[in-house]
Amino acid sequence: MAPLALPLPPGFAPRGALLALGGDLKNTFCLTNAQHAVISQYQGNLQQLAVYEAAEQAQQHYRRLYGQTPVQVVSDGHPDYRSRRMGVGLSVRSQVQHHHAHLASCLGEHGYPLDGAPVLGICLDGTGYGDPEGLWGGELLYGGYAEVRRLAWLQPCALPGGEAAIREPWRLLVAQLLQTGINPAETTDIWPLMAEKPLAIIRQMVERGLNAPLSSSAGRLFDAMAAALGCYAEGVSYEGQAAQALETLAHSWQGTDPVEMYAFPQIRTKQGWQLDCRCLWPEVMADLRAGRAKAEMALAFHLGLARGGL
Amino acid sequence: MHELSLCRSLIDLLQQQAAVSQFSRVKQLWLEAGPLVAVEPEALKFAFTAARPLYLSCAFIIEEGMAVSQLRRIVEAMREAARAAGVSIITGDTKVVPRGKGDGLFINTSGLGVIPQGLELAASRCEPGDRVVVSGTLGDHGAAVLQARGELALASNLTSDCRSLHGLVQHMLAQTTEIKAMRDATRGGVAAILHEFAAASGRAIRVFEDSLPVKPEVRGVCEILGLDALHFANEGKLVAVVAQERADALVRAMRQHEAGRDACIIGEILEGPAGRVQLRTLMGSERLLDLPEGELLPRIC
Repeated sequence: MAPLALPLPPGFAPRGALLALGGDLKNTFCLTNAQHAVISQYQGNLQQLAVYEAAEQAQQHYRRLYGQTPVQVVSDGHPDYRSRRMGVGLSVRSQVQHHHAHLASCLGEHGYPLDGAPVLGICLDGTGYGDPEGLWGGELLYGGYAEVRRLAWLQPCALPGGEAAIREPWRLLVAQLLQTGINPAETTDIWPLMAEKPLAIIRQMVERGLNAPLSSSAGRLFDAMAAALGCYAEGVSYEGQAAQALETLAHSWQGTDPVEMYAFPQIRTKQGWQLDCRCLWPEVMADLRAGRAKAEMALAFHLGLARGGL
Repeated sequence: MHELSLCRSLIDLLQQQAAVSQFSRVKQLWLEAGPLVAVEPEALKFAFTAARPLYLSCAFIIEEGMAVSQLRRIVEAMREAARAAGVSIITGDTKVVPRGKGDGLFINTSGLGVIPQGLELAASRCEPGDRVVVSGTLGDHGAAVLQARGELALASNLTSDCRSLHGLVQHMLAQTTEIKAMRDATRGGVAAILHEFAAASGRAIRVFEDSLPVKPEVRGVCEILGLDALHFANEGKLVAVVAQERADALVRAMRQHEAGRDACIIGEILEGPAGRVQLRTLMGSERLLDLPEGELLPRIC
């Protein structure tokens, strides 16, 4: 139900109203006062002009409705988010990292106090701008409202074509295979679609970093696995479609024996721990060639990733 | 120098006559001027040459070790291009930087010309209802550079659209006086020009996705790379804003010129809000067309 007035957790004493501009694709905004964070109704994709204009009007409407003039504006750190261009006329602006915001909102929703002990948060999503830069999406964060530290993350992999990779999961599978040192052109026996794809160009894009940004996204890993099991590999019509199909496939497994999970070993780096995704692919390919049931493989992926993460 | 004002009046007369008699080019002009007019023939000739680009300065930054033969080939090509355009390269500067500090060669040019009287091209003149016209296909140069640099193993033959535009410009200006603004699209593509026009005019611009001219090979490159031809570089295309009632005739005239064969109307000027550029998609919805801050980073969460 929206507008949703969430009581601010104990310890919060904001000086003046604040407008949080929200994300870009599934936008909601939030206007705070002394006691509550008032969350707006779902706005939608701000790149659609009609949505953008409606969101601007909604913001004005909320300010009138609640008699609040925000003195500060907060936005996501992504340089191209449309939401960042809103809140014109408000001079005090700050930014919050995408996944820190996810963690904080979870705490806030459960009324976790401001001075509560630091928490460990597993933040998994499709894409969020990292800190200071980069694309995150599979993060283990330690901290709280004020700040977080990134302890561990999924091994970053390229997104060849940027948003095109998100719409066409086969690209993510190719990137994962390349990262593992497997030549996608030699996998046409299990993935016939590879035969008609511009694999050489994708390889060059990844090697030269030509519109192939790296991302530690969990969502993209799910998409790559979905493509491997034939779930919407060619293309999706909405975000998450491939991963949802993968989940449905996993749920459909009827076997009663314990499932042998895929392994995600940990790699120690200077900045923290990474979950290695490369071991997955030779095993997946061997299983496909051996005729292992795809539903079981989907489940093995989910369970294996959960175990690796925890 | 009254030869200059005489020249300007002559051009006005010619333009008026061109509109009436529907010609776009004057190949020869015979003028009878009596002795009491006191016209210096040389000065009059000079005045006519002033109605177009005239001079170029040219600064070279050369990396030590660059092959002289390569430099010579480039300079000779520049001389040829300048000669064909009727432009004189009159001055320049040369610097040599140590090996490893120069990436081969940088050439920086500045051009000087004269704007004929009565011609006022400025983005601030754009009015709601005006049409946005482009002189040809988008992104040819950007795609060609990717192939030429060996960045991609692209099978198709992509060629740059690099060319001089002032012939086309003269042709267009002779066609109508209702051209409000004109700019060549280079880095940042046609999208960058649209944003410049929208910001300078205080208007909004709408372009139509189904009207954007893109070569199939360039479209293919964009699809593989996940990039938009609107943001790709051009080196021989211009964007013009023209009054609505003159737009179709202007495009027809442009298509008669070798530099404007694929000219078409791609959009329109809207009332506002100032600075906004939007795209009507193939599906009929309106999308905001923003310039990326830096590297294109996915927004999809």
